Amino acid sequence: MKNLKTIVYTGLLGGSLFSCEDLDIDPQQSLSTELAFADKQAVEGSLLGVYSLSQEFEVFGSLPHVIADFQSDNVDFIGSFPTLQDIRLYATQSDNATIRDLWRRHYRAILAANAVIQFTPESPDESLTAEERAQFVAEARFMRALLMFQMVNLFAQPVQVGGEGAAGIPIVSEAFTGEIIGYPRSTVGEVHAFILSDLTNSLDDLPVSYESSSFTRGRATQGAANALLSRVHLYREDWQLAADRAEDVLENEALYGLASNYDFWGENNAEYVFSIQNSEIDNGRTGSGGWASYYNPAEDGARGDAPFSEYLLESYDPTDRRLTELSKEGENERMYTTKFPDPVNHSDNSPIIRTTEVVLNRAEALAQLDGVNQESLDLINLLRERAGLSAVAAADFSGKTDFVDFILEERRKELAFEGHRRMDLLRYGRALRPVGDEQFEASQAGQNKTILPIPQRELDINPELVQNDGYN
Amino acid sequence: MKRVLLSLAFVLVAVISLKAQSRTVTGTVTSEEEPQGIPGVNVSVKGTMVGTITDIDGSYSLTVPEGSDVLVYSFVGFLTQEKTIGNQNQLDVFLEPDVKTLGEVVVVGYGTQSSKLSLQSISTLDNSQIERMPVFTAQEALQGQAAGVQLTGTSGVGGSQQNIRIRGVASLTAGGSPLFVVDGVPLNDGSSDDYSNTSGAVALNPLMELNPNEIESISVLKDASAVAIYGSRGANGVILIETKKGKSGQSKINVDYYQGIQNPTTVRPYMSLQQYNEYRSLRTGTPITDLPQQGFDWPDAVIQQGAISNLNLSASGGSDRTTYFISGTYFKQDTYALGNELDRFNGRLNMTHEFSDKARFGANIGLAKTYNDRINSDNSTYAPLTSAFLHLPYNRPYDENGNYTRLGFVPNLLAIEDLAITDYITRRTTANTFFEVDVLPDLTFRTDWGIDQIQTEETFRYPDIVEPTGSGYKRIIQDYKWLSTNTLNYQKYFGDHYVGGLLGYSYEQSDFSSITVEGSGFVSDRLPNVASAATPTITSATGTNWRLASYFTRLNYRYDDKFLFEGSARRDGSSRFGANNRYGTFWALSGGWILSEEGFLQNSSWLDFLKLNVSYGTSGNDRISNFESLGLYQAGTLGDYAGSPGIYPSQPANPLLGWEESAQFDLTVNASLLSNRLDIEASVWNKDTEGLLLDVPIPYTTGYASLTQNAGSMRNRGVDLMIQSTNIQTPSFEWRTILNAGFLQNEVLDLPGASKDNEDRRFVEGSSSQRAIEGHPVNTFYLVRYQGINPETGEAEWLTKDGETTNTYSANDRVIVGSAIPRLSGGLTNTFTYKGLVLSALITFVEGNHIMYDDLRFLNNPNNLNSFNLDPQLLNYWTDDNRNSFAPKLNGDTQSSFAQRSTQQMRKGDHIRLRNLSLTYTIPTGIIERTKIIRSARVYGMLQNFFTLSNLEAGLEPEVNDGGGNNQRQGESFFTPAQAKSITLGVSLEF
Repeated sequence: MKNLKTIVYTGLLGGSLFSCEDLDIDPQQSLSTELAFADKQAVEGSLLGVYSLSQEFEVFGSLPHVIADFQSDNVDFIGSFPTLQDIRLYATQSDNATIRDLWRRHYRAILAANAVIQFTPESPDESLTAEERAQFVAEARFMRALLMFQMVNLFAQPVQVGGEGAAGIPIVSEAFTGEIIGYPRSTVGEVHAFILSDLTNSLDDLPVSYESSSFTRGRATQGAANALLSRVHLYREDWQLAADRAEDVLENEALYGLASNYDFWGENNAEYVFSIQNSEIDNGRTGSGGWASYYNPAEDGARGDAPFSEYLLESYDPTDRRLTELSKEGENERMYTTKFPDPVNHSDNSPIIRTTEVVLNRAEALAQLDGVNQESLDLINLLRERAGLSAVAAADFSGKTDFVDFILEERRKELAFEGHRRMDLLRYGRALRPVGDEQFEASQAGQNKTILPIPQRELDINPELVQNDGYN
Repeated sequence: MKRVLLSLAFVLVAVISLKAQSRTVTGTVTSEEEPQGIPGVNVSVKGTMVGTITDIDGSYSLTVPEGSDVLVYSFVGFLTQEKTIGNQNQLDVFLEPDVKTLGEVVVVGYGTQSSKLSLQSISTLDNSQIERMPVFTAQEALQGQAAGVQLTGTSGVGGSQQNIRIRGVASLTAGGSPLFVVDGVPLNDGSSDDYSNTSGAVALNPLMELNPNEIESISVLKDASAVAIYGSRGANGVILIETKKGKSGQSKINVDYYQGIQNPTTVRPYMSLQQYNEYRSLRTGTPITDLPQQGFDWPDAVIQQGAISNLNLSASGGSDRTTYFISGTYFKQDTYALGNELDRFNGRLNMTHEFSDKARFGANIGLAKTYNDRINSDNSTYAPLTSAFLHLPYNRPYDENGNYTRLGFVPNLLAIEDLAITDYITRRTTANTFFEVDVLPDLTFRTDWGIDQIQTEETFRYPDIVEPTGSGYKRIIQDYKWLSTNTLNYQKYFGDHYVGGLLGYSYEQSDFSSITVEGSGFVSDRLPNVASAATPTITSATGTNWRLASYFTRLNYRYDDKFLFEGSARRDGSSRFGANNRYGTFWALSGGWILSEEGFLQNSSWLDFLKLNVSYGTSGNDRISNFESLGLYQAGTLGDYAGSPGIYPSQPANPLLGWEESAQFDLTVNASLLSNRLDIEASVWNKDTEGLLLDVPIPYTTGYASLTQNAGSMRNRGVDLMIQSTNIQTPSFEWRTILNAGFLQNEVLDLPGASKDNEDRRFVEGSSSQRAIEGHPVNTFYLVRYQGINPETGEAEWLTKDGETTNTYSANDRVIVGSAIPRLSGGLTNTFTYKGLVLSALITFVEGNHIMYDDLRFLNNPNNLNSFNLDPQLLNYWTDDNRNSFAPKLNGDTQSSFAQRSTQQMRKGDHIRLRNLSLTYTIPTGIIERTKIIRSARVYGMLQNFFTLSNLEAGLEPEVNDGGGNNQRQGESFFTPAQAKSITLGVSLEF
């Protein structure tokens, strides 16, 4: 028995030698949260992550824009995706998985922004200067504002319809600490105020430009913040502020200006105030879709879901270069835009804010303030000239309403397929579809399904949330 | 580490030499059934407490005290023998079977036990059963053959996994399939989903590289006493597979060949061009004559008759000290789906050598290469069996000049098959080598080193016509696992007292790496590799690892081979868990009583054997991803921006993350009656899983989707029943019946932290159709109740939550409508033997489950006119003259909501399937002997899945699972390819 003991002990000894094996293994493709803000490179990487998450399909990778387009009258829906079809037919249900994912991805990007805002000032790396820290935080604030504005436009009635007190979206301004908080919906007014404060507070800390053009156009700048401010004020009918902020952008002629023709698409140039930078190897496209996938014909390898609607075709003068130079006919005999020419590799940038929009913002705001006025006419004529159309003069308009409508129609033709049309109709209390359309009634501003449902999944988990009318 | 082990071996060898003594008797115990030796036979010196038992090859070595001269050989199932030693020191004994019982050996974790004396709940399938009913994959062999084991085919695509659930599913988010152990090597399978990017329920069969012909036995470990020794990986049950070993004696060569054809069990109905035009004309008012008159029958083009063939050559034999088994197989399957082929080569060499009476070594080496020409399936437009039913019937694959057409989003399936490369190659080596030494006559040390190395290579290359400019993709994955298992095994009789003990340590580590490249822009479709792509879109290399270090032990005590006790324990440390919960201890205790050995039953004329045993114990589940406890920022494309590197928050931290633990109680009765003509095994069991790893969904406003927590608890309980009966037995005719049935009840007990539905029940959503709900099964369907078309109004009707009829579909009216988990499943095998003819029929049955055919939301959806082909039933729409219609009236208010997700797409899954009907003829030896070469010959024919009885309409296959191994998404189909039915003929020769 003594031998037995010896053997057992020896065996156990042998075993215990093995057990020195280290069970602490670090992941190879990830960093712990502490390391993510440990030094300057990591902090900047965490900031770029915010842009990258915003690049996703469901964020600025075309989904919100195509949803807005399908709701309104610029495109037809000839696709098959049931969740998009429901949106098109104003038959959306609260469990629409596409909308759920849209909500989810926006808040993921917002979380990443919150983490940068919260942890950057605390980073232990002393080589990170106060100015750099302030800039990184300001960039994250800009992105947070941009993300939240897109969300509130989709999920809440516009102030023109629901007022400041209409249910908006949850405001989340802190990094996730492990505590699960069920955020309630703030009002549209509160959300707008939060967005405006993020933008105004970040303005001074943002750079005017960056060393590389892809960053100047693709990261937050003073120009981008002013342009977004202009849009927010415009949507809120704070016309003077909208006009002023637009001017702040256009003043910097070295950086921003209208391109002379339509070859500007896809490049980083003065036409772009802010665009999400995509490339062949890094873009937001998924199997479900992408800019080039929705807006190109099927034979190019795209989904081909969203050709020109008859309504939009009719709005163009046949010689309008915005039609003749920016469209093509698919094999299905439908017209498609050429604004996103790369359905193979999806390298087209996402056009989030263009100089053209800023010009239109100012023209519209001034028209609202002063009626038919020369500056607005000049701005509009710049665009018409580029489109190969004759200039318009004050005498062509019967009054302010007529002039504003004309500007809005120019806005529609300039910015088609970039996701603007829906809000441009709703903020004027107009139906998203014209008279005679099957969904004309359902698409009246203020109708329930002109805005999206809060995802059922969120309501199920978070009792603080309230569903939009018509989705219960 | 190796050095440590070698020195340990040296120490042991040194100890043995010290221990050597003078009067030692050795020998081998054999029987007619087991000429190579019976393991576990009790050899004792009469009138003393001295004794030993025979080892795996039936040999023993016993030190006989002075003055004793008689050895007693006893073993359950055999008549006890006494032998006088005299001057001999070699005593070989031939045991006669005791007709009352049969002494089979059952493979258990880290050893074998007498099945009659084992306390573990194990279903065993041996080679003879597999041979009688040949199967294409090793897993299929278990179909309907083991009570409490549910096998569900996931898809008819070649190489797909079958979902195996042993005594229900014991987890939500962690893996639910059992641990597979081949010759002591646990297989890499938990991450099989990671191995491939092809869409569909494509988790590949982890046993694909194993040829059923090479299997000696499959043991399914079910209760806690059986699985606790596998500790943190035992909660889902364990399947032990032993491959064939050679036997001493004359060498044998076997050749087995079969060949067959395959077709789908069922094909979905679809509209012909004429039907589609008719419907289109009705809906749009366009005259039929203005609609396209030429089209193409897509389903007909992608469904073809498949072929299957298999050639296996093997040889086995050995000398006194060395045995070998060598085998090679070529398997080829061309499935019924266009473009789906499977080619598999595998080879095996198993050998053992005894270099002394006390020491042995051996190796089992399995090599395989599988070439799989894959197809996409389920929710992918590239899936032939999906898109064929979606393509508009007037879409044509060829233009006027016979060239392929570019069809866009739903691509040209024929062009894909013809021009695209979709290859998946697996190379796998599963091997182990062992060294075993009898340190003392009763104490054996064994060290076993195993590897399971998988390399997969996935290649996609789509031509210009499908993806403009062409695209290419290649992914190479290596998953290299090795482990070392070191055990000390002790067993000895002290008179009536038997003591057995096992002590072990094992260490296991797996290193996974992948390389992925993708590119687009090819000059020509004739350039197959990514290197020729103009734009490399993905260039990625990743790696990850896990480690597991474990101690385990098992103690057995028996008194008089009548009262049985067993205890086992294992302590595991896993790198996967949080620093605060890295180690877990699992244990089991069991006791049994062989009542038939008691005086009051011993002389029963009808009862031959009766055993009662009870066990209770715990086991765990570690199948979560490798770093789930850490808060992470991930690098990669999703973090990078504008050409600069970035990172993004990918996972919230949970340092408390620990094991899921299942506690199982089992009460089993084994009985043999009527001269062993009737065997019954019945188990009642209850398995409670605590600390359920739960991806507790958290509001997206936190930035994350879920937090993995040890939050929930779940109960599975059930009854396993096995009845084996020899109904008729005459010298020339025999009829045997085996019934296996498992009754299962699954209930989610508690989901703390999960969201609440409006009935205040907590739930976790598994898919848009099903949820795990407290107080209900884990796969509970939660849908709006569809009522049908109102005969008066012609509009579709649903029930509100309160049971009122409504024309307005609303997701808020969802209620519990069924479960995807069958209440009863099992198999019934009947075997008729008449002289050389054997007719065998296996019928499997499933009762009590529901299936969601998600694809019907597309096919039955009137909105999809001009987008997709449709179900011909839509032509059965409501009119004044057709009031009992399938679809609502044309252009009615509910036309657009008719096909919304509801019970309209759900069916009962109850079915009975003739799984296998085989007829085997063994050519009489009289004829065979004349050949002088062939020793025996067998021809066989089989029908598989040939007949199914269910309430499902044509086109709906009950054995589908588009969620693959996902525990929370079972019983759903999205154009999931139906199982194949096949006719096979084969011949088997032995030389």
